[in-house]
Amino acid sequence: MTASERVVVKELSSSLLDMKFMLKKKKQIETKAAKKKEAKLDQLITEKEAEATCSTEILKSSEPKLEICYDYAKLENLKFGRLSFGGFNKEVELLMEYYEKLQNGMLSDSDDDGMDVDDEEMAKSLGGQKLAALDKKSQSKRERRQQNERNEETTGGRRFNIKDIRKRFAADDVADAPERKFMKPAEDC
Amino acid sequence: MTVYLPGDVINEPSSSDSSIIGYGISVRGQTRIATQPGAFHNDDGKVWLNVHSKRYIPQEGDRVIAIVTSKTGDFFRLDIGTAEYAMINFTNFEGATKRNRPNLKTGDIIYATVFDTTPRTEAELTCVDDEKRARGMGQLNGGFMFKVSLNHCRRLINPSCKILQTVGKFFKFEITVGMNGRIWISASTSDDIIKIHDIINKSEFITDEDELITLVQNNYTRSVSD
Repeated sequence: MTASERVVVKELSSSLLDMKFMLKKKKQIETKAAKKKEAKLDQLITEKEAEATCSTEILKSSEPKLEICYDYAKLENLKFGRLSFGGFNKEVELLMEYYEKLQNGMLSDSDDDGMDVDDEEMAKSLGGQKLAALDKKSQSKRERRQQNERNEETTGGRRFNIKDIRKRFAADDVADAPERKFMKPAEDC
Repeated sequence: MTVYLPGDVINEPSSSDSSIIGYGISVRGQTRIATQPGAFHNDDGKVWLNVHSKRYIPQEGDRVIAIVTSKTGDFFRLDIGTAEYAMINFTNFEGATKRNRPNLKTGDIIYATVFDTTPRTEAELTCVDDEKRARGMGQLNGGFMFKVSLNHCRRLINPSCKILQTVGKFFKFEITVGMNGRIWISASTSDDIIKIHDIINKSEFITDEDELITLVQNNYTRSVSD
């Protein structure tokens, strides 16, 4: 009974994947599917390539083409325009190192993998947590005040109810025995 | 070094097998003709003329210093020293969205990259790279901006140039060199800014390294108020 009742979900629903917080998961699934398709296509291409023949004579016979480039930055291999000396601006000095690596071709992908989240998003999330904490503190104070107010209201309600009860008793006495009117002031005194 | 005038035929033996034709040279059949006056340069299969000029023509990939002149809807109009104003979309700044717009006003200075230079239309700039990162581009606050010739700007950011290295040993400062002939510098005091500005202006016609060091030392020790 227990085994048959278990439901195994193989794939997440598309409506769930369309939500914003599932973007990364959706991208992963899409990339996996794309890789599978590419693998199949590669197999087909390799099978066909065994049969096909290439003619490279035409390509070899063509003359080398002249390329026109008016960009001095490419012609002279100029470097990045922002520079800092003597530690005046730390950020710019880091940028100088980055662009030097970029120009020498030493830039690796692992350098950028350290930052999965942008600085602004990180700042917002941290700020959000702090704000939430502050809200909790303020809420606790409000809750205390609200509790005090509730206590006062309950006491007030009780008093009001007591008065109502007394009034009701008084009204009943008046209706039942009109001749006893002369007896009441003595009891009150 | 050979200097060519417009109309001269370039007959350098080392340039016969070049595959990249650079600035100032046009090809007529098998003949190469100079279209601008300049000094001939060749390097690693590239030939070009080093032209002394003060008017900037935008090229894709150049990094320029632009001045915000006005805002038109989603675009800022920028003055980069060309015949027409350039444009930049507000989404081409780092972290800019429709709800989070960059705070730029008329007269602000930004450092941007030219990424579209279709002829007969305005150039379009961007302040982010392919990964939507600024990498040093964006608004430049404070400091002092001045103009020099395009030739000198290219010289300053050439890897083999020693001018900025020498100045960097005497002063603590930050400099941004734009390909459109504009330079923005920032230092701790106004006196330093004035001295660095004078050094950069005068170093345009200095080719000897000893002369350069003398110039920097003299400006370092001098008093600005005199």
